[in-house]
Amino acid sequence: MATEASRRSFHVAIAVCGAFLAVSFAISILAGASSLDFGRALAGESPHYEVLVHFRLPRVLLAMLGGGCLALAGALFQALLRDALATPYTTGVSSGAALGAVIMISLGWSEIAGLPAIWIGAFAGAGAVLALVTAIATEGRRVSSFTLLLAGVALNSICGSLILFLHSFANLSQSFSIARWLMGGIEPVRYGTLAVIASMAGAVCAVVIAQGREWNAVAAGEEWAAARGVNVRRLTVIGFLAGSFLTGLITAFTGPVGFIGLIVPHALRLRLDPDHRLLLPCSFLGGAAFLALCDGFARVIVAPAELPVGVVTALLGGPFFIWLLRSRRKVFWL
Amino acid sequence: MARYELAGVGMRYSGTPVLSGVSLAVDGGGLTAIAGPNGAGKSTLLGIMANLRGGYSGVCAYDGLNLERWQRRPFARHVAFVPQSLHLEFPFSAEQVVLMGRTPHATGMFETGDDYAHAEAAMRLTDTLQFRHRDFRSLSGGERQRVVLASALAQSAETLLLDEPTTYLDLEHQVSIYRLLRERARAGSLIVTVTHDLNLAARYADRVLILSEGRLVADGAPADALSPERVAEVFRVPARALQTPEGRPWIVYGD
Repeated sequence: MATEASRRSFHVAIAVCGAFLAVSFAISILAGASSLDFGRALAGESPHYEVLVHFRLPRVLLAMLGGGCLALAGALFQALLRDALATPYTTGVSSGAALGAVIMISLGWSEIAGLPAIWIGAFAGAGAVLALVTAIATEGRRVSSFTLLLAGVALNSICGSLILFLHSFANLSQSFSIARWLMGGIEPVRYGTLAVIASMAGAVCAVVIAQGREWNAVAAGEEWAAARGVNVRRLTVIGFLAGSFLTGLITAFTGPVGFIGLIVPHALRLRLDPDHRLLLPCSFLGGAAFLALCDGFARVIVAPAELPVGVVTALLGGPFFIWLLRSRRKVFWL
Repeated sequence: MARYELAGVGMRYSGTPVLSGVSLAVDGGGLTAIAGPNGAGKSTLLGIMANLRGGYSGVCAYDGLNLERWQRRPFARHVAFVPQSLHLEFPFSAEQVVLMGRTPHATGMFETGDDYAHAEAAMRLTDTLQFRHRDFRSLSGGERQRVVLASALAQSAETLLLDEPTTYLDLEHQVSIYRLLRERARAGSLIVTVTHDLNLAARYADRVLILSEGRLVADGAPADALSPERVAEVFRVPARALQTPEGRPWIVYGD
């Protein structure tokens, strides 16, 4: 019966992506520099138990949350701006986060109110850029998604040059911290922190996914959506705020981790379905799996040393981006 | 009261008037064609009627309610709009594009059997069922135009506003689309279409509006509105009127 076709394909797609996530969870839990004995860890033997529970597991969970949020935010910005090359970073939020983090490192502050100062700085920076971009793109009651894009590009480069400016005055150890933070990396966090991130991100993602049908119309065109009864202005604001919030939240903890927001939605759109009711949740699951695997890869490839995960995603993402540019060009010159 | 009531509608784009003082009433049960040279304000007028353009002067009301006071969703259940073309960045299938027309009727996150039935009927009417699963972007211009029309038909609104719906169509589909529009109009729909094809307008429309430099210069039955003198004056081409064997006007223009 055709009636349930979209609901059924939704369930199948979620099940497949969920299975993929479960497999990548298992692989990335096993992958690591330290020789971890699972039998002993599960029996509660020290130090295997501590390595698993306090280091490996929270790190894998943060990678999954981060990858999921970034991929979903990427899919969202691509729909919002009707541009397959948009990323969570297009609107400049992550450069704001980076600038905030670099300011904290340069000031030499390590803690504010019991929380790492870098988190606070990054989150504040993301919020400040978000507010600026929104103010620039708002004319009266209208929000122009094109101006959002341009304002984001402009603020990206402004933040970038301010980071270079601060970096040039940093001492050696600060300079190392800055470079390391800008590469992006997943560090184990406390379970309480994970729970806070997960609940905030989960609520925002649920709101966005529930509007999947409206996102389809908006991805086809603003006027197209408006003629189909979608309140485009409201949806644009919700999507922009939600995507920016997710990006800022994750960037504060992991630093900028590139290309996930680009690769995952694009691959899923081609291989699975461009329908946002499937694309948004599957991007979350796929992004979660991808970042967890990349982080596992980063742990083992030069063991006992570790690569920053941003290096791994960019090395995989860069060639993909080039391929994307090439295949996009073919469409125009065919 | 007529379904559409426009009084003194005008519009300026950065100071330049593109539409001024348009007043008219349109009711269901007829096919109205809007003709005029490039830049005469045809698409702007249609966009205002579709509630997609704001910032105009004057009043435009549908069912007795000013358009600014209509909410988007209920309005989309009454009025469907067919744009000149649709360019997609993403690989939606033709059927997905048509199903988007059911958005204003959505009761949940997923389509109902009723939604699929409406989409299928609309695709049958526009002869697009055979490529329902193809990537919309891989279709030809005319095929895409028919899919876009199917999406508006699937909206099952009593009013249909079309911006040059037959530009890219072959003769067979031009005629079948105009037949379909006339049939709908006879059944009570309100149909307004912008067109450059004066003879198709003369043949199928019940009423022709002619816009010139943002003003409504003619409003009447095709034979009256499309007099050779007016065509010559408004479109700045030599024009003559012939008659088809059925007594309909046929406009010959050019040398």
